[in-house]
Amino acid sequence: MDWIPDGVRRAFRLDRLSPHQVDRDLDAELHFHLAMREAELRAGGLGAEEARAEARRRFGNLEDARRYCRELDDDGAREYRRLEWLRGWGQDVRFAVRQLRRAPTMALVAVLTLSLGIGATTAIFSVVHRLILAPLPYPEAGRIVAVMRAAGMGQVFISATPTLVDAWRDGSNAFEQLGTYREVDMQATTPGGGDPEKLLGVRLSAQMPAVLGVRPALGRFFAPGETVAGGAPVAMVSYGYWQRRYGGDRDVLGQVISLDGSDYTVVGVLPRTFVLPSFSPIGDRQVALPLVPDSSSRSVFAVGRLRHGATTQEATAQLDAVMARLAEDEPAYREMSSRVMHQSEFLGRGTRSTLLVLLAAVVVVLLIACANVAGLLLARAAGRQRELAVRAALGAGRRRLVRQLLTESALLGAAGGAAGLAVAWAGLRAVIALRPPSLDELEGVRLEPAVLLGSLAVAVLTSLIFGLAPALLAATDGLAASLVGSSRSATGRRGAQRLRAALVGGEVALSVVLLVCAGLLVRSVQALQDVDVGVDTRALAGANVMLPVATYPDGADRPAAYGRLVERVRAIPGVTAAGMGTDLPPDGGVTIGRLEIHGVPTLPGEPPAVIGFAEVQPDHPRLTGMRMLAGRMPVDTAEHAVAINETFARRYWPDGGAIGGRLRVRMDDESPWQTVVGVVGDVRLPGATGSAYELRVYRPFHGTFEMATLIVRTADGAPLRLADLTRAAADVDPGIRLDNLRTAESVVTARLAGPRFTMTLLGVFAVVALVLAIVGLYGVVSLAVTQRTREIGVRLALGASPRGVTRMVVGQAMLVAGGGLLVGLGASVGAVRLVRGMLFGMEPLDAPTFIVVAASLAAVAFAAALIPARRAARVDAMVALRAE
Amino acid sequence: MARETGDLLHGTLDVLVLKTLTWQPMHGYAIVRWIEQRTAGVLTIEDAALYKALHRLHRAGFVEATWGLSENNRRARYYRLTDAGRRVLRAETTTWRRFSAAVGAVLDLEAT
Repeated sequence: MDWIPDGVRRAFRLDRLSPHQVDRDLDAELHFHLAMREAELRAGGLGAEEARAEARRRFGNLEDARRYCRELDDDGAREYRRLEWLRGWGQDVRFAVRQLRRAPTMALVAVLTLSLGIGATTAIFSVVHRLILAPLPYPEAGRIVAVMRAAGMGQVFISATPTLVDAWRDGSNAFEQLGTYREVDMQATTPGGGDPEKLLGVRLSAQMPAVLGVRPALGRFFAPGETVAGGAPVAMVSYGYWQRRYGGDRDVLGQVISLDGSDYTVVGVLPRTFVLPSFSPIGDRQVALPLVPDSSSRSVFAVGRLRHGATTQEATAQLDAVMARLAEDEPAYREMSSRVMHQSEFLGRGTRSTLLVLLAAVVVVLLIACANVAGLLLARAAGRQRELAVRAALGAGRRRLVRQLLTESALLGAAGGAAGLAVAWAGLRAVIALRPPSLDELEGVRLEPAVLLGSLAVAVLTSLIFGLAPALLAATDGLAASLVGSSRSATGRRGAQRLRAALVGGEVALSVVLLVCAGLLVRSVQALQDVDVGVDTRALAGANVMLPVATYPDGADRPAAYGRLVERVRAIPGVTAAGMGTDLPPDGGVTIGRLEIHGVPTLPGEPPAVIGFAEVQPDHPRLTGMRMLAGRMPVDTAEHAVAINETFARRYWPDGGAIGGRLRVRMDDESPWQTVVGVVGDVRLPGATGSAYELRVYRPFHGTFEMATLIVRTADGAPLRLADLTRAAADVDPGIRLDNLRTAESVVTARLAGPRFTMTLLGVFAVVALVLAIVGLYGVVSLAVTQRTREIGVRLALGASPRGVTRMVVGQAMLVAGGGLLVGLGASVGAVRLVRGMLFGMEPLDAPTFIVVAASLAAVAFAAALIPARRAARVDAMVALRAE
Repeated sequence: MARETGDLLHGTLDVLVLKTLTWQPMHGYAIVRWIEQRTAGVLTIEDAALYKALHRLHRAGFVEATWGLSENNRRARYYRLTDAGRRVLRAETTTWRRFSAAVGAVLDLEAT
């Protein structure tokens, strides 16, 4: 205070600002004035009483003035308090930054650790949010459901037909809107000639916009008159196509687009995000046309918006009732039911549980990261006892000290969060790039702001909690004691030490659980890769074949066409054999019905079985490398003969004698009995389970349908080109269409992609967890050695050998690690049950995995403890004893 | 020279108080006496009005206050001009002078 007026002898502290104080100050000021006036008047001759009264009178309206001034002062005091509060925080932050700069390694390690935990968690949470919680980007998307027909007691989905959907719509009230769509491929031709462009299209029924709750980006959706037979030919284009092909020009409305030879007028542009619910959400359609309900049986995909409060169970029950009513007239509906599902349910139980396991793993990583940071902060607090004591002695209030410590922790948390954002972004990119086909919709995943905020909140919260512990430790500890002696508050220190050791033990345990699970997955993927598929995947390739209906209207002409195609394909250089079938092994179709074995009584009420089914030519085993175990392949459809696979034969004819046995898959009363004429080796699709893949039936390929699969065997190292095939097909008939050329190997690899993906992610998390845990262990041991330098010096002086000291340090470290290991192994026994569904060909309690994990962890922990232990052994006893 | 209510001066009294404080920091009573003496009694300030003015100026940041001991060992609140107060005083003085000159010019006009 440098402006004390002249004559003033002493100055007090600045106004304190509580309302009470403001009041007292004002009173004092006014009272002073009155007293001075009184004194002046008395000096002028008035009596005491009169002087006082006159002073009062001269003042004027005292109460009014007091009120006026009081209000102003209160207001001022409030503003001052606010500014001071802000300034305090600014000071704290600046101070915290300075403090953290003094311990850069610790700060860096803490921030990196947090960023790993937060980043990983955010990335995986974003994935889960997109796939499970909010897969469709529409208002109230929770009410949007897919409606399907199910056969075989709900085991297989069949798409619906427009007539069925109409019946559903009329017969139930669970839906606010029920619409349908159908995917179509179109060829767009430009008026100026040039190659036609292949476009992905979709036909939308009139109700679809209402079902999804979308508005067009431009123009309009289809009018009622356009979604009926004979309506005007109109179309919509997608937002992306509009931007790309029409430059985003509003003129697109009214332009004519030529699709598959017919002209359509563009009346609107689809909204920017337009995703159709399906087995995997469809987001890439470029044009949309009206779906005209007709009485054809062409399939459609039904999507509905449930009424407020209606459940999928309600809807399913109502739709089932509708189908039961229909079954009275149409026996085909008898064995059918309906399924109403949300988009997230399409994920498939396996994928869902995989995602949840990954989520759990990433939360474990976050916990370990937080525990590490907590340990770091604790260690730091232990080292700052003296500094805090000095500051407290100099007058820093305890609350202020605690606040400053918390600010440091919060800063660490915030920095970790910011870095975590980068980690999350990079991690998400990696996950999307490496995604397996089963998770193709991952492509649309973005970092969810909500999730990021959540992770950040967790990080800051953890930092605060674990920053609080040291702060409280500092406050309650004998501050004076730590000033006087060396930091010898042994009880406090030992308590902190034990806490840190317990934290590290916990980290080790958690990382063991992750390592065991990851290890199980690795073995599982290996087992999958070792599966004997049953055919020569390396040499096989296949493509879909479609004969033009115009040229071959009658089924009788088609087998010959297929035969010519096969001959022509055989002539392609590199091809050693070719044939036709219904699928490329190890893929296959299914047939559903009640399995009846001649001579084996069927249990009443037995549900229909889903059995693998394929039509093949007699040389199929030679073509594909499938083993022919007994008998022969069926040749002629008139034979009523089948071949079955090994597992099938063993299950129903365990003593042999499958050949000659009779079976039928009974769909209706006219299903004929088939005789088994051959037994072939199992063809396995790695990772696929279920009767459709265990039991297989092979019938002769009759080739009367217009679609079939071409199976080609090539010489090693001679890849098949679609161009060669199409040329061969064109030689037979230019109208033949070939697509979806794939190798058998790629089919298998695609199956492995999912488990490999999970294994990789889980492995990464497990390794990160291990690294963090070991870093934590190292930190604890290292600090312990530093803090106990004196004790070690004493030991050495008293005759202990350096080796003995090393042994002691390592021994104590291994105690912590070993404890964590045991707890972790124990917890793993329970935890592996969660991943049981993801394993293949092995039991969760797999001894080799447990052993390998235990041994690796022990080795790494040993190495980590050895470094500080060697430092301990090198302690110079004299120096240590002399040091304060 | 816009006049913003609540922000700038409430009137002539505020200007006088500011001007008074240019001499030295004073407490409220001293300000009253000083003005009375300087104007030879022509201007008497109502005490209540003065304190209102003082607290107004304090809230606006034109003066700052601290507690001290007065000549006769009493605790008194002393006020001092701030830089902002000085600036405002200068501006208002100029305005006042122009105003008074203008009024004077009108009053000096003789009807013919």
